[in-house]
Amino acid sequence: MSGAIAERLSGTFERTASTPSESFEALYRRAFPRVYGYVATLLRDRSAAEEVTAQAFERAYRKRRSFRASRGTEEAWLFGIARNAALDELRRRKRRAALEADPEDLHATGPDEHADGALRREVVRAALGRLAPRERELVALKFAGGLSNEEIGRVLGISASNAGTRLHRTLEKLRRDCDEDA
Amino acid sequence: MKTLEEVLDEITPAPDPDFVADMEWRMRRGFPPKRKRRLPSFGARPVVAVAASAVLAVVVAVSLTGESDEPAQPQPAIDVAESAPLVDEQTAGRSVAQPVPPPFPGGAIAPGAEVRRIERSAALTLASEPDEFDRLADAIFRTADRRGGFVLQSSFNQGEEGFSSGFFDLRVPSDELQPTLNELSRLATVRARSESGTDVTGSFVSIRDRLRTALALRTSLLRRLELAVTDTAVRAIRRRLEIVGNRIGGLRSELRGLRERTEYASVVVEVVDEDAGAVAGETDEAVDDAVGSLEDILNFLIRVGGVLVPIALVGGIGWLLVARARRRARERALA
Repeated sequence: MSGAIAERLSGTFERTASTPSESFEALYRRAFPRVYGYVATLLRDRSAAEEVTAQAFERAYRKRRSFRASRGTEEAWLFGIARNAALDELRRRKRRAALEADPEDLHATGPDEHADGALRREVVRAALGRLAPRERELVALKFAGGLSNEEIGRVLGISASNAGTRLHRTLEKLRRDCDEDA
Repeated sequence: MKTLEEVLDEITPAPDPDFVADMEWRMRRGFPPKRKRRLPSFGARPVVAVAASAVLAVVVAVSLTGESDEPAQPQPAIDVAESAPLVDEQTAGRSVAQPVPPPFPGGAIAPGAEVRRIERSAALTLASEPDEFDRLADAIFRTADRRGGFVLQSSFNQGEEGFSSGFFDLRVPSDELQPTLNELSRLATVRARSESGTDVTGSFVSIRDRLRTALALRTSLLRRLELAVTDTAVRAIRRRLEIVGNRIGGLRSELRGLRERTEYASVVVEVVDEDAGAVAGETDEAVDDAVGSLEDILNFLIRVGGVLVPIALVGGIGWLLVARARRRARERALA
């Protein structure tokens, strides 16, 4: 099978009867935890993150025929849908204030966690919470979503180099903030 | 000690096992919609509704303005003072002549007229062998004579290979039109025949009435001239007599021309080469048909384009604006 045909087949989510296609199922299995992680980082609310994640996959499933491989990877397309759903949710709930505050239900520390590691995570969480929402979204797309710079650029509508530059600056800022806290 | 990147990976929220199981169940069923409420959005429905209204408005406007292919004929401005006869009002106790509207202005239909005045014309295209042309031309002249008419104008076109076409403009009495056409049609192969008639009774009655009024006015003025005692009055009446006389002359001429046009019908006979005409005629007809069809299609496309292109442009611009506003509204959530 040629590369072009393979790309075309993987680029369309064909379905049979009422069951999702294998390609969409593969995308779901590959991306579900990462989409949830990204949305949860953005919304900082577990139940809202679940609702938005489910909604994002519903939309993606309904619109799967509109995906074009020439316009980016499946992950970039899916994260774009998830981002729109998350931003709609943010707007609807007017959770801007909550977005800038640390949530209470996302990062509960287990009793058996090592004290140094737990402290380090708390420092990073606190520094992350002090970032601007757009910067925090960049970090979420990179680490929770596991996207490449090019995919981040596709999701945010900017170039890959611009995404890389912004991400680098954000991580430097986060690192400095963590060092100051430590 | 772990790096920042490693810690960021660690603190990524993981989905709850119950949620994972729920999503697995929904994925296997094709993600049935779960939400009852809809997120607020700039839906496409208002845009579609506006576009549909615009289409409806344009279609109605086009259908109303496109009722007739003929351009609106400008209404002739009737100069009452000019066209109306001057009536001597002396008998009514006034000394100033005033214009009154004619009973039937030019172009009126004159429904009560007993005799209709019809201006008739006909056109005939005859096909003949080139060597038969002289005989055919003689026959046309003889037919006009026999029917009490005459040949007003004739012309012959001679090509390199001899006769190619001829043209005859006949005048025959109107009541002889049909017999003349039948006789001419028997002279050669008829390629085309058309007749038309225009009812000019209204114009005829109008001119005739204006003439009668002008004549009555002249009689009245002559009577006043006999009774006039001062030089000033005599000069004034003569001036008016001169004006009325000119008007009478014009109206008589007009009436005579109209009478001639209704008493004599115009018959235009065109004679063409039978062979050349047949081939050229069929080819011309086919070309005309093809051109006509193309014109019809082009006209239709232009009309459709005239409606759809502006709507598409407006719709596209509207869609872009809505999409942009929607994107900005979303991005504001992160501002």
